[in-house]
Amino acid sequence: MYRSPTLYGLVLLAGLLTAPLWGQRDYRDGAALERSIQALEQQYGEYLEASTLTETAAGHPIWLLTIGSDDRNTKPGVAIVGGVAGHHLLGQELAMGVAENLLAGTTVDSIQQLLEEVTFYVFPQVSPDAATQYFSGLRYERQANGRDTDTDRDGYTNEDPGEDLNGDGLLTMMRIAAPDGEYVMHPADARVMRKATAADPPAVRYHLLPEGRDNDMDGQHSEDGPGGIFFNKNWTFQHPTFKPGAGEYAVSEVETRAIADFLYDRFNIFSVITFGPSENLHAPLEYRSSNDRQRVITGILKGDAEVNKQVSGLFQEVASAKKGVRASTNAGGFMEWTYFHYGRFGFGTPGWYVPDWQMPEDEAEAAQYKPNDDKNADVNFLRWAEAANVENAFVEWTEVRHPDFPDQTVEVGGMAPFVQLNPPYGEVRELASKHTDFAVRLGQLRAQVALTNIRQEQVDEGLWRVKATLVNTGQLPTTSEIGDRFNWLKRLRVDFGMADNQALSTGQEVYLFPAMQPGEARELSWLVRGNGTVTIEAGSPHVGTDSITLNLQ
Amino acid sequence: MLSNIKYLIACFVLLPLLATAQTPEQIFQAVGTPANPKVNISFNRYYTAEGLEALAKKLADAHPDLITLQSIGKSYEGRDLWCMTVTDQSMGPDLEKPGFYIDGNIHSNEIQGSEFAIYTAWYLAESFGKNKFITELLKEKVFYIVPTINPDARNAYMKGENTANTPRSGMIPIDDDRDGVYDEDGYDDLNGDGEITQMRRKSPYGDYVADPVNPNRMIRVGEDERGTYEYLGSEGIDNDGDGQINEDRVGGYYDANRNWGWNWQPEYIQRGSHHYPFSIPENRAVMEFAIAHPNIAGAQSYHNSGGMLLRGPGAEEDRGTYSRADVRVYDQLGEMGEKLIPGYRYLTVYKDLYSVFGGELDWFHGGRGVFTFTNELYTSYLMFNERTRDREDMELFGEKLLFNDQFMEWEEYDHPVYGKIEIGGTRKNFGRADPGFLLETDAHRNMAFTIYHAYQTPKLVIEEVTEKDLGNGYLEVTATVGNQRIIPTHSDHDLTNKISPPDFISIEGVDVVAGMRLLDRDMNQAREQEFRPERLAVDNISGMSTVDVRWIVKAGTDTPYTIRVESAKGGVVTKEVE
Repeated sequence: MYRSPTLYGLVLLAGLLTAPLWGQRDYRDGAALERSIQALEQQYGEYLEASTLTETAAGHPIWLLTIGSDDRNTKPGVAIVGGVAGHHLLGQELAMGVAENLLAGTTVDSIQQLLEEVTFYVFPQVSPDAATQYFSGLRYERQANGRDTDTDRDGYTNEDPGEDLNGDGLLTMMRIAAPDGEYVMHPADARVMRKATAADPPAVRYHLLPEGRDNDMDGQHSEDGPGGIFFNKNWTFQHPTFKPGAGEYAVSEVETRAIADFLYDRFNIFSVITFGPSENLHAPLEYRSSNDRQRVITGILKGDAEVNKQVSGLFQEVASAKKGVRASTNAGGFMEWTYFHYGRFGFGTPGWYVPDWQMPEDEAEAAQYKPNDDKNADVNFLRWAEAANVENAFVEWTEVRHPDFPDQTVEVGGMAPFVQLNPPYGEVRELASKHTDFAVRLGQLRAQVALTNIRQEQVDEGLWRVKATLVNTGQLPTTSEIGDRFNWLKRLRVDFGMADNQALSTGQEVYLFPAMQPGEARELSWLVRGNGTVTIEAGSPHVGTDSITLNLQ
Repeated sequence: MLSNIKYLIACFVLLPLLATAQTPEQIFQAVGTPANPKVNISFNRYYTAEGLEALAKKLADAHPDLITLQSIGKSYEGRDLWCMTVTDQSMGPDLEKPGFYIDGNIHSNEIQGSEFAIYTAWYLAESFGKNKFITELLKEKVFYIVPTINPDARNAYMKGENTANTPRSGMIPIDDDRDGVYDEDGYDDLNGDGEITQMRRKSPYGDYVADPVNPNRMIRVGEDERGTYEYLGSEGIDNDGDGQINEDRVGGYYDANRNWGWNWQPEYIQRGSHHYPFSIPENRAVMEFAIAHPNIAGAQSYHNSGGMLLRGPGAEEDRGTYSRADVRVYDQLGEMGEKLIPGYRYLTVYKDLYSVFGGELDWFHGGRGVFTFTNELYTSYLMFNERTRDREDMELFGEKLLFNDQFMEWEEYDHPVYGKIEIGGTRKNFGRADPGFLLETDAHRNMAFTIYHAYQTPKLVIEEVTEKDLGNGYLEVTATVGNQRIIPTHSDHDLTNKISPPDFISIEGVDVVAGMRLLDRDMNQAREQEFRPERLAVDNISGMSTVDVRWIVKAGTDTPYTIRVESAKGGVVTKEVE
């Protein structure tokens, strides 16, 4: 049927206009990310400053997008970090998506207003070395950065990488039938391997190993490949020193150090959202009395658990969280560091979970599917992937000749890399939109201080009483319970400034207060000798300030 | 009268000559000390960072075959951290010898470790070629000596407004009171006498009286008495108007000895730990040097005071990092130390002092597998060579041996807040730093302890090589490699975490058919290594023990080959076999 050229033209125009934002068809590699950032700079230079914090050992940049208006570093700030796990490309897209949506939203009053008051620091990709493996000729889930290390600590470096035995451009798994194998086929889906139990006879058992050879004949397969240190294992909370990918000591890598140094300098940041494997938004972390019974705190503190619950509730409202997800933390992880060691309101989520596949209602259809009694995640994923038309979710088991196992049947196959953690790209836009809404709402929830109920009374000639009530008018505490314990966040400070001829009879020129809860109020009062103009200023870098000027004449 | 004038003239002329050194013929050696050193150093006084640098340069210039000087990094204020590498350079590269690391002064007011380190470098270099033991020691081992790892604050302690206990840390500004302003309220030398002493005020409500015997001292009165003086703390005023005095000093509060990368904990668990491991630039420099020198097999980091030979664990939570076998090695070293330095006690940090995280010795032991001691230098024991806590004895020491040099007499002063007060009391060079006349003795004994420790780092020897003709052109070669000292090539903690690579024993110059580790030589139990059999990986060579390895090679009985042992901490040893 004939279509009008005008319609085509309009569609084309619309496409061109949104192309910089949503011309994306797939997860972005380093070059595409750079182009996107440059496009944003060109379009939104008033609100955006793009910079590189440093380069990794392999020469990839760590991008930082500072989004806000005017003196950005003087406003309370929220940091948003993506790519903490190198194989979680979704994290990068969510972080970039939030940046893009905020900037596109500056035409809307509420967003523009927010950016006058809050600054967003977006790090879209903090594992750029590892992320390249998604786009490489040999694809596998890599978290290691580009600095070569002796991962298995045997005195040789990179001596045992994986090999692509079936030539499919992927590193998956191998299964080898053996009576002493630790795995068996899953009853619900023979493609899926699950751990064997004592009840499984020898005839049905398999070894399950990473695809490759045991090049250094040490009994382990593919345990020392290219790279490297994992960004999300290199932080100080429960650092798993000497474990593969963690490093000789915490914060050992150029990129972790650069980010830590930057964040420590930014006293105005009050919250960090991390898109990565750790979760406390779909479900909050819970307080248990064992958390702070030891000297080393291993779990969230009571007051902060309340805040986590509140914010998690907000997230579930805004982002339609998945039910049944559990909160989780990882040793050496970044999100964990943002709370436990950086003292901020630290939140994290992978951003997407494989939906629970439902058995079809129609009996005939349902008969095709054997029951997944132990709720095996791989089985669920394959069923969902099939229904959702996800391509190449699984590599069929195919026999290969394996030099290490000359007389045995070795099959290469298994779950495809990336697909269980990164949804089909078509879903990313909506996910980014929801997470942007959350970030905006979190910004609006922030603690704010106001000097209210100002009173000035002339007690006598040249003697004045000045009173004020300092209130936290926001919906979060001014500082987290853990953050108030150490000195990387400033106290609430009240300054009483006077003219040279004035002096105080009661009250201090400087007050320093610990955290204030939402709605909490403090009474302040001064007795001033002498006429003149006084100013009261209250606040802190991560809360913002309020000030008032009084003419005592 | 004329003879008086001649006498005076003679004195004028001779006086300068008296100041120059004696000629060698005028000197008779005191046993155990180099009598005619190339470099003359006074070991009865302390040196600033620049002073230490000058001494190190003199030593390196005078002993170019033994000492190389390098900067291992910069301090916060841009000063160099100097390292002297002391070894017989004609005996192979230093990285192929077991190394012993020494530093001092991580806490800026804990100064004498630097002089002890200089003394060690001086003694080793000046004794080489003259003393057989030292000569052998420097052939086999390498010493890495960094006299000060906190030069900025060392100078601040010596020249700035500080007490015996400050600034302890460094010069990075820290907002101690979290008010947004940095280092704005430090000590003040109110009376301009060059010292930060104490303030007292006459008061009928006070807790102190002046000691009638020695009026410089204040004595606290009993619970039910009233004194005549109030003690007001260290000299200072409220510089920033917040109602507190001296609460946010320059160089406060972080503790370089809480910032190291083994079980590092944040500030609210471990005060002073700063941002993250090695965020303090001086520590980072030392760490990078240690990682670049995996041959470091023993270490000493000097502090003061108290007379202690400390080993870890620093934190109670780290007890698991010290196995029985590792502790046995420490015990042997520590017990020798107690003999060599009477008055010093061998102690464990978390148990006998207090539990701390992120210490330097914790990282050397936990993060690098190095047997490490921290000596807390100087103790009141050294006053009269007895354990005395008697106040009278301490008084006697100050009065009759130091002639009250440790006191500034009380002077009146008009304080803006406190009114009429007196300023005076003990000076900062008293109490923690060795008095001048004890410095060299304490230095020598501590040096002797570190030399014993260094001596006990692994000494690997290819003890014997035997051959057995297997016929058909095959030879079986068995080598026994021994460690002749008590420190193993890998501590248990090192083995558990695979901190250091394995020891490699290689055979070169022949075709290797098979290689194996002999687990029991007599019973012929062997474990074959299929991957690169010519280079056998051995987990560890324990102290005072041996390992046996065997190859089957394609060679005749008269084919020459070389056996080579490469151990990170045990060094490189080769043996050529004809």
